[in-house]
Amino acid sequence: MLSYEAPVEFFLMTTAKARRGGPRKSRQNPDERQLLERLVAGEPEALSELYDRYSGMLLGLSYKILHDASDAEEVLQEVFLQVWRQASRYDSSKSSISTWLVLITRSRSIDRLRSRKVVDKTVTAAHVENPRTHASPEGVEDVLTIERRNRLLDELRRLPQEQREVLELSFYRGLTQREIAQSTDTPLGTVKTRTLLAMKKLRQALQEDIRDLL
Amino acid sequence: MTEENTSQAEEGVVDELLAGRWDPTEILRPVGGDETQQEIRRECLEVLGLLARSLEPREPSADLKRRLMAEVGASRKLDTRGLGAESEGMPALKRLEETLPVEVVRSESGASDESSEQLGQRWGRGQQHQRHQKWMLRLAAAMAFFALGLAGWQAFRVGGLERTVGRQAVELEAARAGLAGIGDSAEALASANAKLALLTSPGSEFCALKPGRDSRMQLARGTLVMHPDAQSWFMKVVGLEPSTEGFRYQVWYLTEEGPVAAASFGFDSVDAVVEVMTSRGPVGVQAVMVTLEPLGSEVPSSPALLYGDERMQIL
Repeated sequence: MLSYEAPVEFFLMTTAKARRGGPRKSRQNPDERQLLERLVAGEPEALSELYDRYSGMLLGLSYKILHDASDAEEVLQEVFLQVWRQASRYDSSKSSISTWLVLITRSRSIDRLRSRKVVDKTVTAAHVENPRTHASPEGVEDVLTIERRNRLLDELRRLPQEQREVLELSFYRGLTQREIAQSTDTPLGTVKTRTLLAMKKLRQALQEDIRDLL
Repeated sequence: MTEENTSQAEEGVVDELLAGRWDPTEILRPVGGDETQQEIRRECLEVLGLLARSLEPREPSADLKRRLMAEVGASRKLDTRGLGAESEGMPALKRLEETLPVEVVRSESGASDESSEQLGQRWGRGQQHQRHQKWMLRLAAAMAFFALGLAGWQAFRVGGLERTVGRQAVELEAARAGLAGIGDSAEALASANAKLALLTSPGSEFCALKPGRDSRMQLARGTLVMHPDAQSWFMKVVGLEPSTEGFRYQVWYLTEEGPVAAASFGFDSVDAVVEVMTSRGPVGVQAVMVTLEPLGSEVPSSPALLYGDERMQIL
């Protein structure tokens, strides 16, 4: 993991700083673009690299949604198979690869959650539980990744509880506007306002990370 | 970027979020709005992507990646089956190289550096060779069946011909026997015709033959029919004793110049009837007699057994 991500993150940070203040021509770093080209060309090694790079994060997300390790791993396998089959359909101008993977994983996890008809009204913070953490092949997690996660957690903690709650219910539980309102016994307009505010704050607070990704 | 535009873009993304339209295919869908709104939209999406990075990563099972890559390998093999529909240089062609049996050999030896195209050509030639061998085997089998069938048919035909030849040989023998009978009948018919012609010819004469006074065969009788021009005659005799070995009955013409041997015949039994027909006729015949003579006798040496000298014209 270190051999791939450390130089990439460094490259992303330096290029992001260079871009800041001007229009961006490229929405994908060269390393990921090359990885995607190899994936589209049908190289299994590219998928293997992609797996090594993002499987831990995506499995954490799936587990966060499903609360079941076996289901989460099945979802993870489905996600990478879908990526393998639909790599050519990915448009780098719309989002980063990691966000594309996150949204695929979220979508499949919530589909599975709905099929199980599991209702879990417990709202937990994103950082609360993680019984089995991921380790890179080298056994050392990327320092920059850890720093980013800490920064993200800090920004989420800064959000008011009701705004964070609405965001997490929407993202991790796949609840609709009406379902969140019913679940939290909150007016529908208030739910929408809270979500908008949470999104605005995060977008402004995470500008650097966003630009790194893009 | 105005505050109003930002709010609109954020609202759009949040609306989608709250509407549950966070399917990844939404990203692939073309988005409307100006560049600023699209930029806001992208940033909102990345915020959501970052939410996952706020979670502690989890380590997948050790065999999850192995299962994934095995399934990917299986799907690649299926993809190569549609190679014919893809153009040269397509990914499937590269993937084909890895699925070919020759690739296994190559990777083990590490000696060959053939391109995917060359491998494809080799694969094609191998397939063509296999198809050729299959056709040759089928052709050989067909020819063997044909030869067996032909041999059987020929054997059947030979057997039929042999039966036909045997049947025709039997028929030929029967025909030959019939022809022999017909020949005998023809001879008998000719003899009968000659007798009839002699009997019905104007001027033919009849002469009765009777035993002589010293004959020991008093029961013998004979009839002689002759024509005046002496060209043919016919004689029928009954009642003579069987001729012994070394002796034959001899017919004599008695003329003014003495006896002339006319014909000889044997006699098998007392009840036998002998007919003698000859075209040779004597001239100036006065009487006819029959004696029993030893073979080679040129003159009568025994008493006349039958004698006739009275001639009567038939018609």
